[in-house]
Amino acid sequence: MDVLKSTHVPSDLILEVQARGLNQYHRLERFPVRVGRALDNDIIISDPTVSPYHLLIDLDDEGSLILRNLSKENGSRLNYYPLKEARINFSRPIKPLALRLGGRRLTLMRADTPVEQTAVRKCRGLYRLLCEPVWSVVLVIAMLLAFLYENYLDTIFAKDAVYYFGNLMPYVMGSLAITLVVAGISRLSLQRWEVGAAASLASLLLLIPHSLGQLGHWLNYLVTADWPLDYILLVSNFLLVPLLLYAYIRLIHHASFFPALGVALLFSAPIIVYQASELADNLTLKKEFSGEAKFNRTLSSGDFRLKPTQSIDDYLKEMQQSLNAESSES
Amino acid sequence: MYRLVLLCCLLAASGWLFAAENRSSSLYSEVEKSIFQVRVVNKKTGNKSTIGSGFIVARPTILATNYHVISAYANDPETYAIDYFSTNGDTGHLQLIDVDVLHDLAILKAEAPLGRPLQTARVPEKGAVLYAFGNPLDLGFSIVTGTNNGLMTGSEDNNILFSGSLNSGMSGGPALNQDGKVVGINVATAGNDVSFLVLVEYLNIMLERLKLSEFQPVQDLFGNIIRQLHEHSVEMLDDLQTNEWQKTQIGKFAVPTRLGQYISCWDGSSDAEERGLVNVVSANCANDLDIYLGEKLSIGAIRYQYTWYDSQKMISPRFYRMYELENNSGLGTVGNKDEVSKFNCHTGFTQVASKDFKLTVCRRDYLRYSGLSDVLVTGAMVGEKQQGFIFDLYLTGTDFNNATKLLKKILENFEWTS
Repeated sequence: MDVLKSTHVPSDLILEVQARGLNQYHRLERFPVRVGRALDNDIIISDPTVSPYHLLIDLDDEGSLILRNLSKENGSRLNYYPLKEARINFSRPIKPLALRLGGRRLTLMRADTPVEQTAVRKCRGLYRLLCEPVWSVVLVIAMLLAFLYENYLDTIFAKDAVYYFGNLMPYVMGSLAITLVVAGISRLSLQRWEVGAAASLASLLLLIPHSLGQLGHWLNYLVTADWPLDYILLVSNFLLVPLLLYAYIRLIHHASFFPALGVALLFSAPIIVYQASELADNLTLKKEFSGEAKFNRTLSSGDFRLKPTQSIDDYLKEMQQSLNAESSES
Repeated sequence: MYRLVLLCCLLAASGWLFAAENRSSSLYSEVEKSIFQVRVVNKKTGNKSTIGSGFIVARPTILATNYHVISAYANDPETYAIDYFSTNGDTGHLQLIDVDVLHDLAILKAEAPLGRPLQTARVPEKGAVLYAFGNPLDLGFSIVTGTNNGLMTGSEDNNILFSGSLNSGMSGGPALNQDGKVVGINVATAGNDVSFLVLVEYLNIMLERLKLSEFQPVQDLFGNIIRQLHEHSVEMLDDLQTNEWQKTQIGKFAVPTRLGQYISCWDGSSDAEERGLVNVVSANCANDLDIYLGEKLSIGAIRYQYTWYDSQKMISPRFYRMYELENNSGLGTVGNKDEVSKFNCHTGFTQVASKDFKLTVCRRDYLRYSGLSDVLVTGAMVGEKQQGFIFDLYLTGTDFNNATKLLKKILENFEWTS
């Protein structure tokens, strides 16, 4: 090894090896640097797609960096192009170089390359629901109480408390399953547990559609029509899951806007596709002839409504006008 | 001694049976040549699509049958034709000249004389033997002996109840008395020897009318059918409104139940176990009219029901959860898109007997029978915490404005008795 060369390093060079969780960084101080899977390399990458001796990084007499592919198997790529040998001048600021050895991504950059801003956990506003443990507890309890009440409303028989709790179990299991899957994925990716946030997410995924359904029902009665619930369901069926996942990824995984959006859409894709096919079916059904009379059948114990109570005569007059008009139209 | 009496009775009965059998065989030979099979034939394939029976009446060229036997032709004369087929194999075309859809009768005319017209007579006393003729299930001409059980005065179509086994294919055939005169026309069966005959008087009314025009086909037959249906609907609804109405207590409401003699009401309350914490009191009423217009189309029905719900043991939201599920008109409204439009509905709130009701009226119009509609009404009491009352009304093939008048009168007759 040529000792002189090490004194000609143009600036501190960093080789970043991308790995799940946290990346590895190697400061290149002595050249040549050999990278590969064999244990006598300067930098060892234990990736099965990387050859035992894969890449050589050296300096020439002018201080330019020489990158030479040593692998005869999967080869190397530099900025996405196949690499045999390349000469790069690192003495002036230069964009980080994207390297790929086999299937492993690496980045070669100057040590003065600016790093991204520190991700600060912005636990404020609605994000509190996800990141504050007290909210996680509140949400889980609220979700369980909501479904317990729902079970109670749904039966017309006198039952023991055990019955209602028994009926609650599917919801408990469902929310547990979502919590474990979400927390598990975060654990693998972040190397830490985010059970509280995952439990909040699971509770919101169950609680929000239920609450929106109640709201829609109430609005339907208020305006004596079926469109409020229809629209609420349409919007929430498509947006709720991606929005909640987006918030979770932004907050817990500190992802920036586009990656967070991408992952959220990717994970909600099956649900979105399912909802789209349901919507298509419903629209087809709506167009088909049905002998059934469709009208707003909601009844509400509160009896909050915008339509006033008319006398029988006024009601019948209005009804006749409306139905005679529609009949002559069709 | 008793045995002897019994034996005498048996002998008398068998003598009577013997006489009846004798009469039926002699009748058969008397009238055989006046009775035909009536076939509706698809012109495209030449195959029969419906069969029934018919008989010569009034003139040697005139046949009477049921409207439902030839309704396929009346609805689509382009596709179908009507043929007759005699017991000795003669066949030929028939022309439809008049119908009475309300009494399920049709008059057909042949190109040439077919035989001797049968005479008509008034319906004999209850218990008299009648002989129904026809071609059941296309198996050959048959004679069915049965008993006249009189006119069904509780039913709107005023048919004769005939205790004998009519079968499909015999429709339109004559039912004769001992003298071989027509007293009724086979029309329907409810199985188990419960069958129905159209009173021959309705046929006579048509024949009298046709005699004036020397049995010329009625102009605009379909328009005529529509007129008959419309007039009948208006008349029926007017009748219902002029009647003295019976009221029944359903929960805290006294409501009109039996609106007319042709309407019968049944208790619809379900047992307590099925209903859990809810008390349900219910009554449903209907006429038994079914005007046959086509294979999948019958009209003339009026059905309505009242249901009271209350529960002191349920909190209001829980009561309303159940109540809303019940607000789902239990009156089936199947429809065929070739016959009716979609339902248009109007929902609002109105005060009935000092209580607020969420009331919906839906209407759909018949596409070919213009001026006729199906009207569906659903009203649910609102504003009471643990009490509910649902009123449903369904009229088929009716005049919309007259139906509205009837609805108004029904609603005005609700009474709240606390």
